[in-house]
Amino acid sequence: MRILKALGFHKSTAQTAKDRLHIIIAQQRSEQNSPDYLPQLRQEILAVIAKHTKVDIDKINVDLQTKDNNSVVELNVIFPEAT
Amino acid sequence: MSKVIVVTSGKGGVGKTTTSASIATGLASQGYKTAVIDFDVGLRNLDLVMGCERRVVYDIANVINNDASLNQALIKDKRNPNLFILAASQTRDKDILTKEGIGKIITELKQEFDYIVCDSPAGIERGALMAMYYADHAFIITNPEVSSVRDSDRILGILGSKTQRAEQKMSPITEQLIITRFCEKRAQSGEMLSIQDITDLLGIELIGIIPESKMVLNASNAGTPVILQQKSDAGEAYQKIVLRFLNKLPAFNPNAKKKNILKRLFSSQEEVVA
Repeated sequence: MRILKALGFHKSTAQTAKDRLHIIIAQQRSEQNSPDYLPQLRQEILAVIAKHTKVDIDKINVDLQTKDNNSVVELNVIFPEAT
Repeated sequence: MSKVIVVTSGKGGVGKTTTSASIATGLASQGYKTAVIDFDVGLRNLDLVMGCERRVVYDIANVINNDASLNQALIKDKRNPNLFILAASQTRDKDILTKEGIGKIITELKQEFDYIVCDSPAGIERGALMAMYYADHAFIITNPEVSSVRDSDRILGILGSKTQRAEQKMSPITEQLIITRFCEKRAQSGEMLSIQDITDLLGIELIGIIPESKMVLNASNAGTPVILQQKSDAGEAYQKIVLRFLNKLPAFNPNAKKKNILKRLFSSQEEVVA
């Protein structure tokens, strides 16, 4: 059984736990270093865009990237195809 | 120089109070004058685990409100003259824990005690924040279980940002991991996160592993810190943690015992022995 697992035939629940934790902890750590105003800023930007366009809210991406001393808020909006 | 130690985890029920009681008792047995403080206002339990619940007269709220002096509120442990307990209050108002109030208690305790162990409540509310605020050292208690590991990581973030050392840009709190309720067999069969998995995820130094043990419940039933059950596996593990913390034993080495040849051939997983 253990040989089978070692060869990758079977994924243990511990492995699944580890993989899930890797993702959630990475996300948690990135949020931890973001400024407190970001969630509200994100929400308000989304509200303004939703008010003026018919964009699907899920297709708007607000990202904050910090490099050296500069923080860049990146806004990605995918407009629906004109009909 | 006296040291303030916080025992914290984020998640509840992982063994913070058990660990606080055992580590405080262990430090006192090594000859250090030690105070252990329960920060779980409204749900105090350290007194029960230490077996002094019937001797609580004044608690931390009485000291902060100047209803009693610190010396009046400190309960002397019946087993060890070096050990004192400060109980949490059972009033439901957590707002009594203020930075100033706790700061005053810690400053006063530092004059008399070598170690001040702060038993944090679960969560990240005021009680937990106050327990860690003045800490020099943190023991992070983690179970080999997803929610506990995630919460521990969260607590590490808070230790690094919301404590006095973080706010005043002093040298950071030293952090050491204690994994509790670990079951070697289940980790080997892939049912439980391994020691390596947890230390990789959290990225802090491991100081010891407490195996899942019947003695922990037995000890709390009796109101005796499990570290005093010297022949139990859990008691022994706590003793080793205290000695490692005091640099009386070398740092924890998870690969201390050699695998036998058969296991080496057939096991892909890291074998870890407590």
